[in-house]
Amino acid sequence: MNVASSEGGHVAPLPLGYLVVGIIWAPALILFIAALVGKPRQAKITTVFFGFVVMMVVVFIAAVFGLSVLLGIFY
Amino acid sequence: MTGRIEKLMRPLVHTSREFFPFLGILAIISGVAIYGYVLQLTEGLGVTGLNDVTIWGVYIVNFIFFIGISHAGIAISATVRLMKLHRYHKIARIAELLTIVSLAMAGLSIVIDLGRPDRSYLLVTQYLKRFKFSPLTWDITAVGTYLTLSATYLYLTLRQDFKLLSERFTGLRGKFYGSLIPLYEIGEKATIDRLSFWLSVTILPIMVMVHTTVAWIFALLGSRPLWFTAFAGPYYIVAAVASGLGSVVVIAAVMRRIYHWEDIIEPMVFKGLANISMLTTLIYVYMMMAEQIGALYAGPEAEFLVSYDWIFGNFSGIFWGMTTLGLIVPFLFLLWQAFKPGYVHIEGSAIACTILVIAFWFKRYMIIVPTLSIGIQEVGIYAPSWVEIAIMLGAFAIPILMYAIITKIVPLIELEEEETH
Repeated sequence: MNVASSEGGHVAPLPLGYLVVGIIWAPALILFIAALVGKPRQAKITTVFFGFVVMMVVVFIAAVFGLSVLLGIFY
Repeated sequence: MTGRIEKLMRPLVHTSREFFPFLGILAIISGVAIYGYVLQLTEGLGVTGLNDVTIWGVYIVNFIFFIGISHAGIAISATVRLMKLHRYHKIARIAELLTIVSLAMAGLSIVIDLGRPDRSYLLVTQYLKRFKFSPLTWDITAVGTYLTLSATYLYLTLRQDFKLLSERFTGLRGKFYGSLIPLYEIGEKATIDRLSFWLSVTILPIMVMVHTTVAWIFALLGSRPLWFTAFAGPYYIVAAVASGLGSVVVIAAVMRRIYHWEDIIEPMVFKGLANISMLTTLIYVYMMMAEQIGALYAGPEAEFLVSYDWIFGNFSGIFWGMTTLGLIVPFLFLLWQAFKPGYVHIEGSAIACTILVIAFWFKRYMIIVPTLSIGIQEVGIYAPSWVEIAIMLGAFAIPILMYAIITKIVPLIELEEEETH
């Protein structure tokens, strides 16, 4: 039995990931610009803001690697 | 006003006798889940009910479910801030915490589902090669960005409260809260308000992309019946809003009762949230009906077979139970409540929303399993093994445990907001 719901597919003509990731990150880019140039602005809290964002990214990546190492014990 | 502040701080200073046995039960369930997962790691995915045909089961159901729940938190908070809906401000943080905990569990659900989770690091090292065409990578991008910005939003809005708590508590606890606000500056609130506004503006479209990319993990697999559809994104988002808001109603009702916040969280807040959950449930049922009628009337053979299996075949029990008892009955109660001006039954709304949330879990099961069960005659219909059930129960116990512990550290309602009003 043929279980396909659509036959004769084709490869996406464009690397659509650029578009999708662009749409996801565009608002974040606007946020970062607004954080840097908007008013009222205080250097300390802007530093805290960017510091926290960077920390979260590092924690996210470290968690992925950490889990890989931890779970690698079982293999 | 100080009395109200004391009342809001009750979870931080007062622990009931029931709290620790409750934590104990959750810890035992989590422990059994961890044992089950260790068994899965050592023995392989053979200990699950998954097979060569049905390659995804309850772990992926949990993933979609938790992503959906995570929708509510920051969405409520951001909408409250942007539209100045002050009445709902009291439940904003309860919802924000739900977002963070749910996102963490969604990520873990993916790891749990992997046959070789030790290779998770490839997501990072292969990212630049894969993101051009891989919907899974898009989803990780969206979820990672959403988690990062949601946590940042939560932290920034917590700073004023941490400052207040560092002054109210003495000794080690005061120092602990003081350590959470590095570079604190008097008058930083105006800047934080501006950043929070922009975070709200940013988070809402990213939140939409999170669930759209989750939907695309399935909807871009052209060979899978009932998954390959253009309206998968909106379909998933509607379910996420309904189940997410329903979860907030349940948690807020529980917290309101435990901490006697009857005079702080207005009853009409529950009615407003329950009404949106009710309306989105109606839209969802409509979309589901459109999907099924289309497939049954003139769908390709595979879609017809899966749809037939939903409604008349192997999965009809789950489908009809989920649709009638899970979606339509709570919907009718919430609709009846919506048409009674000035009336809200908080406990009734919480029970209705609990049933809705459970029904949406089963709806995600219906999305995954029947489609993957077509052509399964050789190996039998998928049913989760005890290992999967144990891990699944743990996947619910762990976030509840995390949430319960967080309530002892973080104020569930903004103290600073209360103090200034």
